[in-house]
Amino acid sequence: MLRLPIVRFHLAVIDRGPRVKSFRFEIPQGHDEIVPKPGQRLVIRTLINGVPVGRPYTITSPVTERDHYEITVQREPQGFMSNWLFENMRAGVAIEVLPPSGTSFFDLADSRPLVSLVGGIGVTPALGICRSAAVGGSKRRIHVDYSVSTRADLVCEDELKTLTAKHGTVSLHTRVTREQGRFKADDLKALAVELPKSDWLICGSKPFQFEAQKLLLAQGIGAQNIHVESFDAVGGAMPSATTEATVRSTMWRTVIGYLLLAAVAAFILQALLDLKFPLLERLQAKTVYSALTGAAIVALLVYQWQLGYVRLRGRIAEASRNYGVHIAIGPAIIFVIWLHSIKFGYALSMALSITMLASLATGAVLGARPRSPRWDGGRRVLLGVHILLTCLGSALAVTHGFMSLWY
Amino acid sequence: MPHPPPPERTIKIVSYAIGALLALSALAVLVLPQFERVYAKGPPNTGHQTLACADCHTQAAGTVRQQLQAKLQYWLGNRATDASFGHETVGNAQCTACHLRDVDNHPVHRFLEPRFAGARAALGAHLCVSCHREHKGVRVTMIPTACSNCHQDLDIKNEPIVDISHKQLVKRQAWSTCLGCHDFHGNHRRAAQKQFKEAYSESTIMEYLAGGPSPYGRDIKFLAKKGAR
Repeated sequence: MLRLPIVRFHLAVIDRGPRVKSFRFEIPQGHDEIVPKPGQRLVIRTLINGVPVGRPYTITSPVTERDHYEITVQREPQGFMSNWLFENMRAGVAIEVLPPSGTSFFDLADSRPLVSLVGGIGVTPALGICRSAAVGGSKRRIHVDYSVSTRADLVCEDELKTLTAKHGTVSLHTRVTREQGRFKADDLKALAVELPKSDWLICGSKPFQFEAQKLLLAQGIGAQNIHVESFDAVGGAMPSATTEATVRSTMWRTVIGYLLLAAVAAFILQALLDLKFPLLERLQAKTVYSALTGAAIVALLVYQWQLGYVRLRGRIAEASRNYGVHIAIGPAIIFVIWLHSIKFGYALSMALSITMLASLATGAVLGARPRSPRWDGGRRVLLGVHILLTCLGSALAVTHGFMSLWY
Repeated sequence: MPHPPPPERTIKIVSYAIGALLALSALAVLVLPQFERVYAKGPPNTGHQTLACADCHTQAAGTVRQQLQAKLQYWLGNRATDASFGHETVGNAQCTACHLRDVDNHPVHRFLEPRFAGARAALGAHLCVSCHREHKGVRVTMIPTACSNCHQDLDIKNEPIVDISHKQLVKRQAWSTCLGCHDFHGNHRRAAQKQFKEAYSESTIMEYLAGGPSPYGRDIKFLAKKGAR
């Protein structure tokens, strides 16, 4: 049931790129007294197949614009709301609009510079801020460092260039990462020297945010000056994640990754040294025990496949949640493998053991080492090897399980 | 113009495709009859290298559906005996198909006698596979001190050993020395040593049990049948 201020969409849809459109709609009644702050967002709600769905989108119109709101949206293959907006936003369609909200906003009268490190569709807060600054004649120094994978991904490049040409306080640097690579520590160091005591706004994908935060913190930029507008490809702009939370989650992944690597090494060592565990060996000789622990391994493997499945289906938000569980399950798998068999096995079993151990080890390294530009190439190769080994290991595991029961 | 997929997604898709192909290829190879041995739990025991899987693993009766139905009925209590799935459990019948002997010092059927209930419970002495667990790549898997289960009260009237008595050996719990003179199944044409000092060393016996050369000689009374099935 829609209960919030409803607006009838009747203004405009503007193409910004192959998958990006801006939607302009009337400012709902009740918002007359509210002046959004540069960088804030709107939550748009509607009914999709009878289900109420709401997503936050950054306001890209100038904050002084009182005729309409504009949001700029990238269409995602599995994006619930973005697909709905692209297919249904036409004259007369009703949507709910919540009042502007969000804590990543900036006072354009502030004397300190503002540096926006934005990636992909994460440009939207910077776009709204630059437009607001241009319309309001802000004196605040604003620099936008805009990263995209390919030139075709640039959104409103011409408009941003025109803004920088007309307003000396606004500058833009576009970075096509496939040609120029991602920003490096030296790039941020140069910006920090050129624009001291800046506020830093980060908006982009999770790896982009992490890398930017890490490099800024390494430059000695205070965490209080780093503002992260966490941007989710499916849901749009999500509530800001704090630097601390991101770093903590990365730290846990690192700990679990190294723990898993140590567990894999310990398994290999005890198997090579032929260590004896009499009770376990007696249990492992029993068919029922082997069947139960084998079934547990297969169940865990099936659960691990969920990450690949949701990623392949493009359900990015779900994949992000699953990733944490995927990493956490790693040590559980090696433990259950050990409960199932303390040896490498023979023939097919040995091939299965080696494949699974290699798959776990590659997964552990991927979890332990955070993304970084230097490690990116190696990480992708390792990711490919991890997927390949998991495919092979899963097939061998199912074959081994069936044959063990069959004979 | 549609966006080109990001490289990481491309890598993932290519890896899944190659992984799926690799997995299917592996499965295709594994179903070939030449590769049936890869399913074994371990290497064949001594002398079993030329056996085919089907020589011991016989197909269970009925179709897969019937086997599963029978198992279900057994679990539900509607059937008195369990049913095999896929293949029958390997038991004494498969072993004696090749190794049946007219004379055996320790035939498995002897352990079915009530007086050997203890040995059955402790060692499973009535089953060939209790001492000769298959797919271990050795000759014998039982510990060489197992004689203690039945021979604690050993009392020989005419002691054949000249330098020490059996009674003294039992008293010393020297169970690892038994096989130094005695061939367990008695399948070698030979006489046991008369002097304890001539007994084969424990390491020699262990080597034999592990599949090494026989210290009891090569004069065998009953050769295992070849291709009994």
